Amino acid sequence: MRSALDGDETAYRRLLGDLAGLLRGWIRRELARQGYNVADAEDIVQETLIAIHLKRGTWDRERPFLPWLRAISRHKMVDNLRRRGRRIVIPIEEFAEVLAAPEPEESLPADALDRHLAQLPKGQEKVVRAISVDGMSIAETAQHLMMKEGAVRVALHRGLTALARAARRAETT
Amino acid sequence: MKTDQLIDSLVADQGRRVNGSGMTLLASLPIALLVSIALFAYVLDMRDDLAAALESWRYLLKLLLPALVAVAAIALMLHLARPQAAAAVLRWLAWLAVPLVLGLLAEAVLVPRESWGVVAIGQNPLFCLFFVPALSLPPLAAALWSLSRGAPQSPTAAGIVAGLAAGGIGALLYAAHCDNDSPFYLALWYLGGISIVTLLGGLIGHRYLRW
Repeated sequence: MRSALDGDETAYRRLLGDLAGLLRGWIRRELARQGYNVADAEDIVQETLIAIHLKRGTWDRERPFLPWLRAISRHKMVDNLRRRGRRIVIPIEEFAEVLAAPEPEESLPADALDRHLAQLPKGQEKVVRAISVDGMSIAETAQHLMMKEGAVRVALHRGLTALARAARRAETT
Repeated sequence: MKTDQLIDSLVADQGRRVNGSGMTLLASLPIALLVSIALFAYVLDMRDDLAAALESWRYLLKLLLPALVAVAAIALMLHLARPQAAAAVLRWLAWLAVPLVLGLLAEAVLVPRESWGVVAIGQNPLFCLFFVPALSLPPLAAALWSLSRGAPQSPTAAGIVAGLAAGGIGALLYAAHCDNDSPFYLALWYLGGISIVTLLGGLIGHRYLRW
């Protein structure tokens, strides 16, 4: 995470990939334990990753990373379960097991983000879609959409922030 | 969207610098203070007997208490902006009541009972109840803006502390104008004004500081 904050893209990608695996294991187990639909896990994984990304500035690099990660993940989990209609207390200890059991396989498709993406302003939606779904770089997106790179960056950031907001407000299916 | 695709877009967005709540507050609070001071200069004036007032313990308490509230609340607010922080630390704020209670006791001893009502109501209590919140609004905006960069576990608690900090600042500024120095007045109207801002902060936080 330290190198990632210093701008090392490879490190950041690897970190987020690893975190996705850890979160997936923990979130599936949590959903199952509390009697929720495990099929929703990937949506929550994605929402949590966005939160980790947008709130990375709140991690104090002098402090251990795991407690911070645990706090962010718990917050998103509680938020999600509350939206699904029950008030739930998640014991923090559960989270420790996560380290032993990452789940690399994304077996169930996540579609909540796609729904939220459709609600974004068109410009932001196009940029986020180009970079995520179509796998373009910032430069390629700029060329493709005939925008300046700076504008692409701004639209991407606003788009991701808006995605997080849309997820928060969403009625769960 | 697949999770790997999402990660691609997060990585692409990673280049920008992220400022935490502390940096944001450092940048926005001075501006907010200037706006409040400008508002003060435009509609209010300094009390005439400032030099003399600074020698009375009542006036000093009236400056000290809002200042303490503001400093403590800002510190707490920056603490609560981190996701690991529990809202339970709010209970430390109760210590702020100590200097106020001491001041109230001293006033109760020094002022004859017949005059309690007069010193507690002062000359323009509603003015105070209006201007403390009014002067607090710019700092409140700065505080909430900074918190929106944070990740508070409880958005409501974070908003409350932001309101308290802003209220303390507003009260401190208003104290430069107001010449009702009795701790009774302080407890009723200043605290009333600060409470309004605190409540407002909590309401806005509850609604807008979710993440």
